[in-house]
Amino acid sequence: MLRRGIRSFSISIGTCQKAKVSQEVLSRDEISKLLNTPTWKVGDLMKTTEEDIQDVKVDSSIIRKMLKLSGLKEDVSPERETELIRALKLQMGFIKKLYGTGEEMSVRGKKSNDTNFRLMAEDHKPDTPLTLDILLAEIDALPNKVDPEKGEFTSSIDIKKLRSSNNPLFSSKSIEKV
Amino acid sequence: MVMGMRTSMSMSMHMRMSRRGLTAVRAYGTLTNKSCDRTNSVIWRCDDSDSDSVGSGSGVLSGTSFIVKDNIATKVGYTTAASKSLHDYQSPFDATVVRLLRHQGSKLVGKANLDEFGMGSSTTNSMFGPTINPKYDNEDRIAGGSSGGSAAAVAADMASFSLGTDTGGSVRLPASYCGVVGFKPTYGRISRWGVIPYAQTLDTVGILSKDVDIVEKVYEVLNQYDEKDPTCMTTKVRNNIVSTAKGQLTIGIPEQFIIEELDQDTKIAWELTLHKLVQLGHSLKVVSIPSIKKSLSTYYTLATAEAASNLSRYDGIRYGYKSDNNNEDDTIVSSRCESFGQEVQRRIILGNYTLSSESGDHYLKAAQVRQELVQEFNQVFKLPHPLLENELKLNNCDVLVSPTALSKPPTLKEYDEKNEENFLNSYLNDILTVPASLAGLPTISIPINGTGIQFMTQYGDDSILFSIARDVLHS
Repeated sequence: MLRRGIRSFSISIGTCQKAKVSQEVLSRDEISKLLNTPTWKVGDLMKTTEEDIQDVKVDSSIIRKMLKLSGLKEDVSPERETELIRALKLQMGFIKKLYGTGEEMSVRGKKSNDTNFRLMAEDHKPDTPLTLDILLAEIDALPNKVDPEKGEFTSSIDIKKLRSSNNPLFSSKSIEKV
Repeated sequence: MVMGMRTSMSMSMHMRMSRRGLTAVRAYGTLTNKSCDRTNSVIWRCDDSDSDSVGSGSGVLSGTSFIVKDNIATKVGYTTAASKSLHDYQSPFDATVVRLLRHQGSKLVGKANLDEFGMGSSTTNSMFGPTINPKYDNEDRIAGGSSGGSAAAVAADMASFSLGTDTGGSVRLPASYCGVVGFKPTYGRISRWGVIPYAQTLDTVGILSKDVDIVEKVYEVLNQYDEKDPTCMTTKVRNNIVSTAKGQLTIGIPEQFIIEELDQDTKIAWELTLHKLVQLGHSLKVVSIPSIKKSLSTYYTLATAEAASNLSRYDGIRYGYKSDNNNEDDTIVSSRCESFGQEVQRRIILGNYTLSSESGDHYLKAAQVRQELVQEFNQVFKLPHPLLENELKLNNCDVLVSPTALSKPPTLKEYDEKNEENFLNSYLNDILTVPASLAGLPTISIPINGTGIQFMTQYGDDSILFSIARDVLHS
């Protein structure tokens, strides 16, 4: 009964159907057995074998490039460099789990990467299509929307107070008060 | 040498904080104060004289007090995100959530410790030192993170409730470890204006308290559109959301959460919860959501990449820590190196590597897997998703239930040893919390039999969670 409860999932409705819900309602007796039958081990995700990372090329030059990209000092000690090489290789082994068995890890430039999934309403069900007229009207309305909390008035945010040692002349320009 | 320097910085910070209406109760993990508790959960306490901390005196939260995680901006005191890079940052404004709470009569009494910038699940990566779990009197166990200070503070009765932030479980895991209620809203429900960003497609503001009724009341105050936050759910979307009605519900048990690492006490608590749900008249079904198994890799690809981008703003120029190095060419690099902790630096490097041409298109792949996960969650819920097409629904479940943590919290020593062995080990626990974060689902964790059990509902269906939590807690 339990096995049937777990395994006899409803048939998928469409080709993209991946999630499943069992048709049987679990009885109290079946609960304990279910929870004591693990379906997988998360720790396996953390294990990275040599095979996993054999194609991952991380060397001294890549570490230095990443440090530069990160705004961090490039002249790290050999110990720190070894530690970072290991960290990047572990990370790549971990990221590899994103891909299915036999699926090639993607290489930049092979396909378009101008889309990105986000949980924003305008990405899925946009209210009204943006037109040039709407855009121009929004720009015209901007002066009425300046907000002192956002620092959009001159002197609404005191640069000195953000850090007492700041030179007040050393500041980005604010929008003039209208 | 280092200790001396830290103490000196702590003391000068203490004096400055007092002038700004806050008192540093402990700083850099070295300066102790007789009034401070052993948990090191609250890093700044408000002085009673400070008008910026006191609420309006009337309102639905009148008579309550609250503590906010120190990555949420307050005009009173400093907002540091537990990072040396923001050690002297004074916000010129209150975060929207702080303003709304004070407007409804609640009093801000302090700011809570966290993992630096929210990066961690232990509250041990903080410039203020680790937070100790108040649930365990004679042992130094971690409080969970990154909102460990917020959870420990309410567990130790320092305030009626606290605010944390939850990017991949940072409210729910510490709530589970400290034995309190922790609520993560639907992504976009609660304004993030004034919240220091970590991973902007995942960050949410959550609520913690011993009392689920208070959590609900605070949620009702904060649940509103804020035009200052471009990711905040619009009023139109809010109005179109259908909510689950109270009554007999179908509860799903995701089989991907039945994992080998769950300890016996956790399984007993889960089983007890399921029995309670059956007693309450609800029915249980097993659910399969295959993409859950890929959720950890997805999360750490997206979160580190977004963190690398978000933290590029800390340059030591306009605000935050500035290096004493007088070489102008090195100001940015020196300031960042001297002020970011090791874990933050590692995540920035990992994020940049993930995004680089040396690595591949993994951010894009992770976003695709995230989309699949969202679709799979959507297929098992009865309610329609307010943002997505819903033609492939199985129409079966109202709520999903699982443990929040794999086991009770480890000691600080155990945690450090595991992490040193392989830093990926610290990601393990997140398998239970990260899927709801990636799908933006509302989730509540409640204390059952010494551990946390979490309930998840469809995107936007937050309200029913309080009713389920109350029923299970009181049955």
